[in-house]
Amino acid sequence: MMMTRRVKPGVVGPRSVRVLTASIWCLAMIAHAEPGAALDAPRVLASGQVVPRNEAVQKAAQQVDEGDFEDAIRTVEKGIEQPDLTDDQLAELYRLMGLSHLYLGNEDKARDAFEKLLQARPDYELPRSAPPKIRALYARIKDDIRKRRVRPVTLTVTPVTEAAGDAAVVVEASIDDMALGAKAKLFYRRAGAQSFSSIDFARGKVRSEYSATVPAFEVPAEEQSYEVEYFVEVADAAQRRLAGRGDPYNPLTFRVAAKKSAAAPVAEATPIYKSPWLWIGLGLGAAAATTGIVLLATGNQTATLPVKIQIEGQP
Amino acid sequence: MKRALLCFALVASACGPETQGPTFPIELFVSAGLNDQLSAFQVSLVKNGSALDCVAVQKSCIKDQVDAARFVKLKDAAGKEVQSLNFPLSLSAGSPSTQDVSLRELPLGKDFALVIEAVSKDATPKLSGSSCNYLKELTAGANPAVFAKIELLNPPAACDPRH
Repeated sequence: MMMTRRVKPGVVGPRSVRVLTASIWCLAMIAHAEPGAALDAPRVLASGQVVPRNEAVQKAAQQVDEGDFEDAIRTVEKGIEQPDLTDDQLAELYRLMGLSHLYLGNEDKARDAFEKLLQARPDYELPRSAPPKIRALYARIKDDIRKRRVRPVTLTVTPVTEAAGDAAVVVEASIDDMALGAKAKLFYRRAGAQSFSSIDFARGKVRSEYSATVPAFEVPAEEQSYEVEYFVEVADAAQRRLAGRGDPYNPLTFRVAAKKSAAAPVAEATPIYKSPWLWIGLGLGAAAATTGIVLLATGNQTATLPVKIQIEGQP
Repeated sequence: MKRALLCFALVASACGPETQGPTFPIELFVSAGLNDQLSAFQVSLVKNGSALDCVAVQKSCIKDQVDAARFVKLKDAAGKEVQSLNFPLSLSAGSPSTQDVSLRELPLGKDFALVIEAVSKDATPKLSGSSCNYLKELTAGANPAVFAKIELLNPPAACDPRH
């Protein structure tokens, strides 16, 4: 059912239409009203989370406040195309889109928008002041979404097979159709260790490219090489696994190479001092030593932990 | 020759550390009940901190609660590798009192728990109190200050927090 495009109290028309439009506008205002939602301030969600300012978010919110639901939808559709949106801004745009469709009676489209919102905020609820009819409709949508299967996420992990010790290990992954609010995590442990450590994947310059870095101190070079077990998991805000490569019981592995031992002595056919390798080696050694000395002289490896201790009752 | 020496002296005078190492300030609030029985504090950094239940951790010695492999190896100022950094209470005059503790090579990374344990004066030291803070990240720059509060453990723990 499509309702009037612009619904404001005071619109001239037949009495029944005026009453209907005024009622819808009031419902929209009640349902949308949230603390701190002033347009010149960052928006505050029902969860208390502050949404950073964004022109599209503010404009769409104003349009919803004024009952311009179709304009609000257009603003949201344009706003979603912006490349630098944060997850919070995106969630807020979907919330406004869901509300607009809800008030226009487009249940299917409202469901699509709320599905995306609920991926980011599974516990999102309409304000308590929302009219029972709207709340019932939202509850039905939420229930439907819960029963449906989660959207598949495509995850491709570039396997790591070997790593040099004492150096950070970067695991790269390509993730398409990443759900809003979902996170990709790398879990890793030294083979035989009891528990996995985890690190979040960070998005690269290309939207679908992600990487996670195992710090160098976690993969020290040792006398013997050893294996590190790892797996990658993409989970949504409700911690549902959307995609994964490996799992705790069948992890992927890479080997950390052993420390390099001293080079074996070379059989000498000619006097050692005539070997060009000796002089190249000496040259490289001198250069490395100089670099090391400079680094030691200029680097400051010591961290300071200034501890301020305040004992209760003492000045 | 004089010019060469002058140049060398100028270059040498410009050498030396110019960047400050990483800092990781800790502000520790100790409850009055602990004042008489404190001998030292013990600082531990535990990997995968978000998996720790910080409330449960504070009831007993951390070394008895997590696998030894989860402790980040720390290097004290002398370069000695330790599982936890122990520093005797030695307060300077002033309000609040301060104490500088040095670490070599602050371990960088994400998802740690910082556990500070108050060690009692007993002949066999016991855990007098403990604090637990989740650290999202430790960087090579100036890390934000951590506010930790240690209260007298009630009921007292019988464990010795030292490794």
